[in-house]
Amino acid sequence: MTTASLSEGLSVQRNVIGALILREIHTRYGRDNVGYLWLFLEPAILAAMVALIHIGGNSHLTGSIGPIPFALLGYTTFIMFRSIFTRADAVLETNAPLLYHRQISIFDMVLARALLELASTIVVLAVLFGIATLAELAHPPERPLALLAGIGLLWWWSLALSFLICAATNENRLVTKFVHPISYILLPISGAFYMLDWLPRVYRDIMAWFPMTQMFELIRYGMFAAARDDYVQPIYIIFWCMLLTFLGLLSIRAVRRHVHIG
Amino acid sequence: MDSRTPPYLLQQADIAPRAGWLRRHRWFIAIVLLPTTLVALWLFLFAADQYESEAHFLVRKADQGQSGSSLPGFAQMVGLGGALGGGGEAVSVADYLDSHDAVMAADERLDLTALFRRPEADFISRLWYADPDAEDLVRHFRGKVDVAYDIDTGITELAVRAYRPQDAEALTTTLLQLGEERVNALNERGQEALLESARRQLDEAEADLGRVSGALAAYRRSERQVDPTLSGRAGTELETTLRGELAQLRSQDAAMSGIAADSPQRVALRRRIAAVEAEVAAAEARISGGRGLTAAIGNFEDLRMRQEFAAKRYELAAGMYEKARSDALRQNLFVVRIVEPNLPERALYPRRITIVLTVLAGLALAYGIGWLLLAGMREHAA
Repeated sequence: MTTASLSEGLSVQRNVIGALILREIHTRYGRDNVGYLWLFLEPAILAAMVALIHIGGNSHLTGSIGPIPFALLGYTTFIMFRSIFTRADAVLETNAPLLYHRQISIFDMVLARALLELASTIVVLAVLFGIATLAELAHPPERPLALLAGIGLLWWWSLALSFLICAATNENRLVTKFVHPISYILLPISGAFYMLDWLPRVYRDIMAWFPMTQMFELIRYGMFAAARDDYVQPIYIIFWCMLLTFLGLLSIRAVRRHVHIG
Repeated sequence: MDSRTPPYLLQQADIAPRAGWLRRHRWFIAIVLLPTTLVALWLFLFAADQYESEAHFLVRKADQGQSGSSLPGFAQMVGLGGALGGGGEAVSVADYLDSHDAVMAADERLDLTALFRRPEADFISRLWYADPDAEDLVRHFRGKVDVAYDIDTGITELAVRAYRPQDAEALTTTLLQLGEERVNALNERGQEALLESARRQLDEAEADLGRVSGALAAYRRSERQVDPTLSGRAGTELETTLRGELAQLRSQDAAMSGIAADSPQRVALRRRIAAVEAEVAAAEARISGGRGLTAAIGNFEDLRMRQEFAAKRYELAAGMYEKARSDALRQNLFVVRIVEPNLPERALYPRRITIVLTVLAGLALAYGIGWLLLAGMREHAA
């Protein structure tokens, strides 16, 4: 009985998540197509700005890492984190009526959104880096598997955090006020726009304990030949992600019965 | 059926309490407890002790205070710092010690295969092949030897793990020696290259100077004079004097026009005039005639200038050579040992408790997540 109900449950859940993703696409990008465009334009504009700053001197960062691909990579991946993280508080607000259907769980909603963000990030990254490569501003990823692993870990981390935020905002609306400030604080300290190598040793040793810096190091290691993975400790990152996932799953499970539907 | 009740609570509870506990927690036991126990058993009963020996050193240039990069971080972050570098010499030893080159050199001295396959080594952590190819040996070496270079301080930390304390110390010492030898080799090569090029320039300048001086000497020999300019000036002076004398004689002659032309006085005077005229003509011819002085002075000046130039070049090259020699002595790289290799007394590796706790916590978390996910999945089916 258990395995049968499990496989049945799995297939239902897969359908639910698929449907939620479609719904999300419609509500988000359906009305005006500029929504799609923004996904590409935002990092592209940043890259253009960085290019402008560096137009004078041909100063390269470290070795073969150009400033433009560096900023592009950091920004697109950070955007993924930011949109999963900051939109988590609105998940229940916008989707609560769906919980009338008992096949749909909070987990499904959060996961669907996160999957959509992951997909769009990878597409944006591929398109922008494709263009940059054609323009000879960037090179194709040096270690694609490490790049994917880095993005995957960052996504996992974002997902786990968004479970927690989703549950917390439902319990106390005040949390919403903190989500955006936190995401802004994380922008400079996450490691999306600097390498740990650039920091003086004192700060580097502290920052290296923050899992996000390691994830971005891993992402850069995957993209650039000259980047190094000296500070990346996969087991450490995975531990953080597992711990947060566990707590997050527990919390959304606890929260479900408190959700006010409609 | 209440979907919120964990599934194990739904099992029938009329089994004997102990067997019931086992049955109810069979997944937890299978996924978390059993693997952890196996890992712990392996680590505590079978895994071989590994002793760690450590050494720290600094690679310094004699004429520099510090060989680490002096400008870490922020300037580069803004993009002003240029390439991160400068510490090339400092990082060279760390780079070398991590390379196949060092592995092969160490293998020649210590027989690494035997060292990594001591009888007391367990079969998971030891080198797997009795006759490893170079790649396997290098990979195993990198697993046992950590070389960490710190950009800020320039200190390289070398840590070696082996199955016997003596082995760990021997390998660390050997690696340090290899590093020092490599630095010496780099020095020699650098000095040789530097001195070689300076020496070659000096030789060229010397040969050039010799050639020009030889040409000058040959010229002097063929012209039979030391310095045509001087002889030219002397010739001109002589001509001027002679012309003065001639003019005087002619005016004397004119003044004596009253006296009979064939008087012995006038005859003598006319002879003198003729002689002086011949002298003047000869002097004129010497100064400006065919292969005369004008051409000689031109050639001579040319040669002398070339000689001067060659002499200056030689002087410069000699100075550079001296400087290169002193630089070569001064720019020596050398390894400064900060922490000498130690003979470990207690085995710190493998870190048994840490590993067991990590495995336990990781599996427990995985179990919890899995359980929550599966429970969520089941809800959909209900």
